[in-house]
Amino acid sequence: MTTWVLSILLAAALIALAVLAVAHRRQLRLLRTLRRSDQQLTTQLRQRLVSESARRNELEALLGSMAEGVVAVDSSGGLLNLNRAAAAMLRLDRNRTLGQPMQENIRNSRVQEMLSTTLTEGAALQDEFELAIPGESLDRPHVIQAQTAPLHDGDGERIGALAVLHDVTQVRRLESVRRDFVANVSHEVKTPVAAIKAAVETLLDDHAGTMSRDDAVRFLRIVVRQADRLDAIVEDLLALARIEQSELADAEGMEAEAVAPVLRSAVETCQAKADEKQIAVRIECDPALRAHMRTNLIEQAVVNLVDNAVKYSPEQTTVRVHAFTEGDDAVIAVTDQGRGIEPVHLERIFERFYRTDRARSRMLGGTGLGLSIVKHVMEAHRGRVSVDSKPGTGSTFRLHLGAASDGHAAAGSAAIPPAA
Amino acid sequence: MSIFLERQVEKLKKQVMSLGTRCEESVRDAVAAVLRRDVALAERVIENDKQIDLEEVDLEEECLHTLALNQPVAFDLRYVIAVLKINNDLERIGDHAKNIAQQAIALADEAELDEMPYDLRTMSQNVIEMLHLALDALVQLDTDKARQVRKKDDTVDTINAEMYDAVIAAMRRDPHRMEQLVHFMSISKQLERIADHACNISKDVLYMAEGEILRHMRLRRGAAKAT
Amino acid sequence: MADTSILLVEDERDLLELLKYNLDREGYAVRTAETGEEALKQVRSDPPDLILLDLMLPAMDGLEVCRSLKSRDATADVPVIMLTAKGEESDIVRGLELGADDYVTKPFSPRVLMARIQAVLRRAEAMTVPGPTRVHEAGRVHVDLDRHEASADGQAVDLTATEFKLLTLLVSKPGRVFTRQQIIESIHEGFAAVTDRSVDVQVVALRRKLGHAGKSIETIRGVGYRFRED
Repeated sequence: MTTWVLSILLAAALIALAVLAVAHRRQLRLLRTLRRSDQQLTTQLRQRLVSESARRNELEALLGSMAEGVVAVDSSGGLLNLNRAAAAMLRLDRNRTLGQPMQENIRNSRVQEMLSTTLTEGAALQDEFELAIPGESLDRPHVIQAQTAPLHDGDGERIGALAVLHDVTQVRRLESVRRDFVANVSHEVKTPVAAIKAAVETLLDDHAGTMSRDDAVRFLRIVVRQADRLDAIVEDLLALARIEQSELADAEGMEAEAVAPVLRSAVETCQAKADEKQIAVRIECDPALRAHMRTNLIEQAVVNLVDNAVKYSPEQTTVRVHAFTEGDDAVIAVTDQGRGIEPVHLERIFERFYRTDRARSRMLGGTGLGLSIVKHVMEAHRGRVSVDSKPGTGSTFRLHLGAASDGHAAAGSAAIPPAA
Repeated sequence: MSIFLERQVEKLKKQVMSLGTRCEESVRDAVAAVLRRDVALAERVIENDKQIDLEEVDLEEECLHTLALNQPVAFDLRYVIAVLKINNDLERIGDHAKNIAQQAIALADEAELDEMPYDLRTMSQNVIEMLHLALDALVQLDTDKARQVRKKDDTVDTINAEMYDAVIAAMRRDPHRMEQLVHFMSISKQLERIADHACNISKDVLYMAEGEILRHMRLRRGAAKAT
Repeated sequence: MADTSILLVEDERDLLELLKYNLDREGYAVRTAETGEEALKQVRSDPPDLILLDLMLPAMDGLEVCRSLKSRDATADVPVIMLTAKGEESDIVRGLELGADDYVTKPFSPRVLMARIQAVLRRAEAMTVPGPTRVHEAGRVHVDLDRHEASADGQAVDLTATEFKLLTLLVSKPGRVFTRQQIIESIHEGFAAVTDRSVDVQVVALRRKLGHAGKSIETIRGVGYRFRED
C-alpha cells in the first residue's frame, strides 16, 4: 500500500520536474528571441497601441451616439464600460464608476438581476420594467426594455455580460393614449345611444296603447336631446380631424389680426352660461394687439377655455381673459378661480377624452374633446398651449401665438401703435 | 489585511448594496402605487419584501461568518458591525414599504380623494432622496452625503407633524372619507420611520468613515516612526 | 308585486326617467337617487328589494357604493344589478367580486333589463328559503351534493372533485356570472396557486363531460362564466 502511494508520488514528481525543465528551456529561448527582436517588437507594439486606441475611440463614439443605454460588466460583475445614454438612465458617473462592482452602482435590482443571471448562466435575457429616476416624479416612471447577453472574447471564452437598455416610455404612453381613446369614444357614444334606444323601445313596447301623450312626447324629446349630444360629439371629432389635416397645410402666411374682437366674440358665446352661475368674465386686452392667426380657430379655442373655466368654477367668481405680449409671443391667458387640476392629470388633459372626473364632465355637458381641440388649434398655428394649476385655487391656460411686430417697430412697448 | 478578508468585505459591500437597492425601489414603488392607485404594483412590492427578507438573512449570516472566521479588527471590524446594523435597518425599511403597499391596495378600493390631506409627494420625495443619499454615502464612504441625510430628516419630521392636524381637520370636514384618511395617516407614519432608518444608516456610515480616517492617521504615524 | 321596491341609481337624467317609467309600468315601487351618497343614505334608512346601480356616478362611483353596501350586514343581502357601458369589463369583474349579482351593458333593451330584474329577484327569494340546498337542478343538469353525483339529461356524469365543485357553484345560481377569481376562491378555498388559465381548462373539461348540456355553460368574454337559464 505505502510503496504504491510512494511510487505514484515519485512518478508525479518526475513528471513535474520534466515539465519544469522543458518550460525553463522554452523560457530561455523566448528570452533570447525577445532580446534580439526587442527593437522590432517595441515598434510593433506602439503601432498596435495606436491602432488600438483609434479603434477604442471609434467604439466610444459609436456607443456614445446610441440612444440605447449600453452597459458591459466583467465576469465578476465589475463595470467594464457604459455609454452616455446608460450613464444618464442609471444616474452613473462614468469616470468614477468604471471598474467598480455593479451592485454598488447600478441602483436598479432588475438590471442587476438580469446581468447576474447572464453572468452565471450565460443566457441572453429580455425584460421590460419601470425604472425610477431619482428626483423625477413618481407618477411617470420610465419604462425600460432591457436585453442582456453574455460577452465572449476572441477565443469564445465568456468574459462578462452586456445589457442594452431601451427607453420605451413614449411608445407605451402613445399606446395607452390610443387604447384610452377607443375606450372613451365607445363610452361617450354609448351613453346617448343607450338613452335613445331605451326611449324608442319604450315607445314601441306600448302595444296596449296605454302610454299617455305627455309621456310619449317626453320620450321623444329625450331622443332629440340625446341625438343632439351625439351630434356634438361627432362635430367635435370632425373639427379635430379637420384641424389636424390643416396643420401643416397652411401654417404659413396667416394674416396679422386684432386679438380683442376675437376675445369679445368668444366671451359672448359663453355669456349665457356664465350669467347662470353669476360668473363675471373680464377681458383685458390692448386693442392694438395683433397676432398671426386664423380668427375662427382661435375664437373656438378661447370659447373652449372660457367654457371650461365657467363649468369648473363655483358661482359668483371671476374668469379673467387676458391678452398681452411676451417676447415675440402674443399670449392669451384664461384664468379661473375653480377647483384646479391635480398634478397627475396635468400632463394628460389635452388628450382626447381624457377627463379628470368623467362623471362630472358628462353631467356638465362636456364632450371630452374641448382641450384636445385647443391643443390642435395651437399646433396648427405653430404655437402652443400651456397650463398652470393649483388644486383648490384655480387654473390658468395660456395660448402662445406669434405676435405681429409691425415692420418698422423695434422691440418693446414702443412697438404698440396708438389705439385705434 | 488578508486577501481573504478583503474579498469577504467586498462581498459584504456588494450584498448590502444590492439589498439597499431593492429596499429603495420598494419604497419608491409603494408610494407610486398609492399615488397611481396601482394594485398590481403594490402586490409586486409585497412580493419583493419576501426577497428582501431572504437577502437580509443571507447578509446577516455572511456577516457573522466573517466575524467568526476572519476575526477582523479595527476598521474591518467596524465595517462588518456597521453592515450588520444597516442590514437590520434595511429590513425594517422593506417592512414599512410593504405596509405602505398594503395601504395602497386598501386605498385603491376606496373612492379617490379630491385632494390629499397632506403633501405626500413632497414627503415621499424627501424620504426617497434621504434613503438614496444614505446608500450613496455608504458606497462612497462619503461623510458629506451622510450629513445631508440628517438635515433632510427635519423636513420630513415637519411634514409628519403637520400631517396630524391636517388629517384630523379633513376627517372633521368629511367623515365619509374616514377610512381613506386613516390610511393616509398611517402612510405618513411609515414614511417617517423609513426616514429614521435612513438616518441610522447615515450614522453608521459616519462612524465607519470617521474610523477610517483615524486608522489612516495611525498608519501614517506608524510609517513615520519606522523611517 | 306592488310591494317590491327598487332603488334606481343613475346620474343621466334621461335614462333615469325612462327606467323609472318602465319599472313603474311593471308594478314596482320605484325610488331614485342621482348620486352614490344619496343612494347609500336611502338604502340605510329603508333597504329596497333590489338596487339598479349605474357604475359611472359623480364623486362616489357605483363600485364604491356596491362595496359599501356589501360590507355592511344590514345591506349585504340586497341584490344589486350594475348598469355599465360595454368595454368596461374590468369594472364589471370588480363589481361582481364585490358582490354585485348581475350586470347589464349599455345600450340595453328595457325589456331585457326587466327580465334580468325578475331573474335576480327570483334568485334572491330562493336564497331566503331556510336550510342549505343539497340538490341543484338547472336546465338539463342535476347535482346532488349528499350523494356527490351529477347528471346531465338523466345520464350520470363522472366528474373530478374540482369539476364537481365548479359545476355546483355554477348551477347554484343559474344566470349569475362568476368571475374567474370567484371560481378559484370557491373551488380551491382560496388555497394553492391557481391561475385564470387553469379555470378555463377546468371549464373546457367540464363542458365536454356534460355533452349537450355543456352548452349551458357560457363564457362571458372578459368577465367569466355562467350557467345559462333556459
